[in-house]
Amino acid sequence: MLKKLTLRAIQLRHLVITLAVILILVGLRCIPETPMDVFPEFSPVKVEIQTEAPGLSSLETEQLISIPIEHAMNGIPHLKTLRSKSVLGLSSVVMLFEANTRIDQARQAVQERLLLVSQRLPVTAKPPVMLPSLSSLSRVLKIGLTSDRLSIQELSTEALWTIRPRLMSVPGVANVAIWGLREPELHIQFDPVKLAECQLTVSQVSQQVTSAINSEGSGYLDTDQQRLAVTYDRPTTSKEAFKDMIVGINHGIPITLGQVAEVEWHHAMPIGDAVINRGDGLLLIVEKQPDANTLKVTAEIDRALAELKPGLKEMTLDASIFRPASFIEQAIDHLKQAIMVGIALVAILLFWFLRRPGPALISLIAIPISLVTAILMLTWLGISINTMVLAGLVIALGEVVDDSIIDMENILRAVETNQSSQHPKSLLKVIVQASYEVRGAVIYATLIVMSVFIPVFFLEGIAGAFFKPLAYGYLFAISASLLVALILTPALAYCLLKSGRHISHAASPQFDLLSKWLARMLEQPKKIVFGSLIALCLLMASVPFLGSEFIPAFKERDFLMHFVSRPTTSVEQMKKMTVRASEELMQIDGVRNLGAHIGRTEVADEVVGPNFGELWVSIAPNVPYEETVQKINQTISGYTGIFTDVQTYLKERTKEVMSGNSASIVIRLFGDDLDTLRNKAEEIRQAMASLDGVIDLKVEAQGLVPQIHVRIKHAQAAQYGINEADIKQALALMSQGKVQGEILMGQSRFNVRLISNHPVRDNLMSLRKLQLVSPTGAMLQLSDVADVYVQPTPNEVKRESASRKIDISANVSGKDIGSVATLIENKVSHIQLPAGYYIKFMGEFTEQRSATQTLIAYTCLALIVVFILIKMSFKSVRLTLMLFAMLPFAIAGGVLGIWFSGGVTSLGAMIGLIAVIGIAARNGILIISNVQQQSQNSAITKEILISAISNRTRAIAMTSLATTMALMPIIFKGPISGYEIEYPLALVVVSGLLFAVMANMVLLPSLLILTKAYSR
Amino acid sequence: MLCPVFGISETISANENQFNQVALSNIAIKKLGLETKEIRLAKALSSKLYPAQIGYAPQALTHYITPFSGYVELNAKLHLGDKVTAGQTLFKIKPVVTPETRLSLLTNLSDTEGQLKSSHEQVEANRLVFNRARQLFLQHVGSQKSVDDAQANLAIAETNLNTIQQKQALLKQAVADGASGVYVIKAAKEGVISQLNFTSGQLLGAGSQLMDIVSTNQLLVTVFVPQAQIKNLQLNDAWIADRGISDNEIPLKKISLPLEADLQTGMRKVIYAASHMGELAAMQKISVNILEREPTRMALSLPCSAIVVDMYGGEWIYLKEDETHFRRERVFVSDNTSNTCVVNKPDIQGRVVVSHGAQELFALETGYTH
Repeated sequence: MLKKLTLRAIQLRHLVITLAVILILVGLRCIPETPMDVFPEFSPVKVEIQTEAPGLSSLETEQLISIPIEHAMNGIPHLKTLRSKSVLGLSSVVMLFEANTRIDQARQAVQERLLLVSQRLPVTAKPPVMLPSLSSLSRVLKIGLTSDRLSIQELSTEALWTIRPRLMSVPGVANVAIWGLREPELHIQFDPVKLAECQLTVSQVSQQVTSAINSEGSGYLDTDQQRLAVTYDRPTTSKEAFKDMIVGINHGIPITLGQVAEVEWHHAMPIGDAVINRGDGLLLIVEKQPDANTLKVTAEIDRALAELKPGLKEMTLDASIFRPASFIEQAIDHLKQAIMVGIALVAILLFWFLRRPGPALISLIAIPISLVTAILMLTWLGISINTMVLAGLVIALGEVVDDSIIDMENILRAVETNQSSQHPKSLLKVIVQASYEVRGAVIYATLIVMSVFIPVFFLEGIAGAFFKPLAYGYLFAISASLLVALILTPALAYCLLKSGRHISHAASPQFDLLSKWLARMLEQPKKIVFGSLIALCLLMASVPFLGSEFIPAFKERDFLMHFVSRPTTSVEQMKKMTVRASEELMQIDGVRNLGAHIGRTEVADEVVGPNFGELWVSIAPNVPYEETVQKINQTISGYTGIFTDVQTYLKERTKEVMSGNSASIVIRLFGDDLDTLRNKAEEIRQAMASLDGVIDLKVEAQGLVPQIHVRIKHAQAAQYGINEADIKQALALMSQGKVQGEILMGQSRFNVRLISNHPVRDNLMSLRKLQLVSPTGAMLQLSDVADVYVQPTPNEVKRESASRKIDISANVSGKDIGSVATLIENKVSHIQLPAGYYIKFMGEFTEQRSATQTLIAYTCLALIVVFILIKMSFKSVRLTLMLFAMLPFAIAGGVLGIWFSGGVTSLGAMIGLIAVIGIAARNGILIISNVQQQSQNSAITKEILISAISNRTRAIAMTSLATTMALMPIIFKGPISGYEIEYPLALVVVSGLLFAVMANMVLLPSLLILTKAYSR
Repeated sequence: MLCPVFGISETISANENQFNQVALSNIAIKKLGLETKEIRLAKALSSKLYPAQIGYAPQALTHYITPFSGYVELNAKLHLGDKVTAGQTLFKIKPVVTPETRLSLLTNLSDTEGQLKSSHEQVEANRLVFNRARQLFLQHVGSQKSVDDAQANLAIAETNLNTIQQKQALLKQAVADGASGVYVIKAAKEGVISQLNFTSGQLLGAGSQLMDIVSTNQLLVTVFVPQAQIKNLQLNDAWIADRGISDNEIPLKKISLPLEADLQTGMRKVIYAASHMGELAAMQKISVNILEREPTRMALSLPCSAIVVDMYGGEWIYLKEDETHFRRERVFVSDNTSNTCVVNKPDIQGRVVVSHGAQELFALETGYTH
């Protein structure tokens, strides 16, 4: 069948060539428009529900909101993990779904259950909100908004009502969270004394104001001809209009609002803040939808901002505080360069080996066609093109060209033999036959390479998300190259050779030398085998000393620093400290700009208190990377009493997705009692503190914080005629006020808030002295009718899988994460836990170990498949075993590559080892199949072995060198941006290949000689 | 730890304060931007705040009422809220007659007319007597005495006639007009018209309340104090400290009236007079500070930002021991004004307290850091 296929391809060569040209043209047309991203979507399908519950403590929020929502959500189809976090006045329930669950189906299921549970939530809770679905690398741009002239309130109005709506309309934008917002509000600051003077109560004023500003339709006027709508004009934003509002009558005299209250524009009590560079400003964080392309979204946002700019007078927009698009562009550029340089090097290599432009060109054509086919296939299947896919294509370059080389090389040899024979056959038959001779080997070799990549498809979680696209890219490229070798290469070879020009298959003098050297080597096969075994043992013995890391550090030029103070720290104090840190950071050479957000903002992905801040800096491209990072680290780490770390966003996000925590090593302690959890967590922390390499060690801040309680003294309250509602109202109005409604101005809406003219601020004493007015008119202090006391309460309560939990987390510095994590596991396993309490190890190391175990398990399975395939190809168990014996040497070469890359096993290196196994098996097959062809079922002599190796050396050498050349740009440039994952992979592949070539060329024949396999 | 020679345990004494110390490097202090302030001693007045209401002194209010029914005309220059001086005309009253009075007037008129006629006749009779007596005298028939008596009788009759004529005219007018006379009422003392209960020209009955004039410098402050606290207070030392009323404190002087209770609130009423009224107005509800009966003491004041509250509500400050050492000290805030807290801790007078950055030091001490 294959023979017929090749024959048909040659007969229909014009059609084949035309189709190939069309394919290239389609590729040239489509590929430049294909959206590219830095990484694939690596986070699982996630739905988050946030419920605001003003005034509820963290424990109340957990009991009254988080747990009912958790119970309602339990059992949703495909739900994998259910987490919740309850903080003061806010509940966040996060659901992670199994891979491949459709986000719309997940959200639909959550929405259905949410409707039911929302009716059972306490009255104080606001309606639960399902956050927009976000991409795994959700933050696509951070925009700093500052002004020398405009106030923060004015900036907030512009940001909220002009900039945000425009950015939200950009396709792919899921959310624009604004930190530092001081949304203007009209504050009605009532004077309790004046109210008493006019014999009015706050409730009366509140009722009148609410009634006046509420929008209610006034019906219709039906005339004989028309229906005319009637509406009541609500107060405008004019302060005077409010002051003239009648709020009550005293002895028949109307009392206006202005008589009892001041009306001023102000803002609500902040729940967060922002720092831009060194001072005040707003930080707009643009988040993208899943699968939205970062580059495209960023470009659209830039365009939107450019449109807005002329209208935004007297304010400065800085869209370069955090711009992952720059990193993506750079990373993709680097990989494109690697592909282009790799192709150029492969071309040079081909011309050098084949010494003729025609055959070299035919082999070279396989590269663009295979790559274009792979990219078109990936696009068609909806797999986004990212750096991992491009890395897969880079690794595949060598093998892509290999299929054509083998084919072309055999055709040339057959044609030359035919030309020198006395009865030359027709060129068509010779080419078909020559192509057919190597076809089996080529197909089996490709199938073997595909088989060894099977384990990658079984990887789960973040590892699977990262490396499956790489495997797809690789496999599509080599599948396409197989088709090219089957169809296009023979057709092109026929066209080239039909011209009648004699093309000799002259072997290079180097290959004669190689044959002679090989003959000499094979005279002492025992020494070779013995030496090889020693080398193998040495390299394998070094494996336990290798370090391990899951995902390498990315060379982003945007840095994220967590800046976390003790819970209960106020927004003002955090801002003060953040400004201090900003000033220091901005003094570092190369730090271009800074944006920081403190606390939280409404409908955003940060469920934190005011004590939590993040500082984002970006550094100039022309400053030394490592040195600047070190300076940033030194600067930020010196703030006593404040937890800090320095990360890049990509790294932080990958860790966050792995464990829900941004540290590399996470020990999650589950149990019911918060005190026990805290005590045991502290015990674990102390056990870890003494270990080398552990940095940023902390127990999750689920500590106890003071909470002020107010409890009515019934007897005293009754004496004054005060009830609980009066106290609650006074507490609300005298502290942060109550929103009465909204007023409109154009498209903008502003809250109207009723608040005391002297709100309680300073300390506990001022709260105790809070003035109350009794129904009989007596004025008294809160402490007269209520106890005001402080009790400890958890600042937050976290749950996972229906149990409370606390995280003990750490990062690793100076040592590899694997060894540190193992030490931690040993230490922690000795800690006694009460019944019902258990520990789960999570984070980067656990994810890597799980991925490695999956890889090893499925690689064993894949090797069985490979064994069966080789056995089918060779029809000899002995030869198959001989070939299998070569694979450990390829792996040993890969291990050497790991040592060259820094001695740390990353997942990229593991994938490299898999690729090496495939290529080694492939080369071995080509040699043994040639041996079998030459021996023609007779005895395999040393001469046959040397001849077979000589025949295949050029193909193998060209394949190996082509792969090496393709990866050389990555190896030479080192782990620069875009090459972080690919660099160790490239080193492993190249060194593994060199070992595999040596093993196949020297060790394999030696083994065959020693095991007497050559004499039947 | 065991003593090697005697094999007895060695006592280790440790002050609790040693455990509350934080040491920072100079760089860390600079980075944190710690701010400090000296703790100063100031006179501390422990007072309590009580609700109060402004009212008028009993003698401050003058009510004006109509002495009789009549038409009341207000002085055209006066309006509600105007100041009046003593002796200034406030209003005029034109009294009006009732139907009974009118009937009485008519009866009187009728009687008067009868008397008038009778008087006329009497005059005529007396004139005849006089003329005859004069003729007889001229004829030397009568005596001079008879003439004189007749002349006197005539004069008396004429006088009676005139009187009755006048009475008749008056009665006629009274009957015709229904009223009689205009009465002027003047201000007894200076003050402000606080209430006006009539319209100028209105007919009012006797005893109607016309207007109130208040002497504004005679307001009283009624403070409502729970009975149980009376004995703990220095009632003679009270003041108003409310920025909404006056920038300065307004001292109050206690008026020695018998204490009485407010039935609605169950509290005692203590009455004060204010030395100057500022923005005070009658019926206004305010708060009054009354000094407690504790001896006057000196107290320490420090910025409220220096205080850190622990999870049990304990209030702490950080004292600067030297350039790099800070000690945590428990304090009890007894009072506060804007941004300043008063603490009871005499031994820290003159010490330097961390006024900004205490939260970070507390975080360091409680392990919340690197």
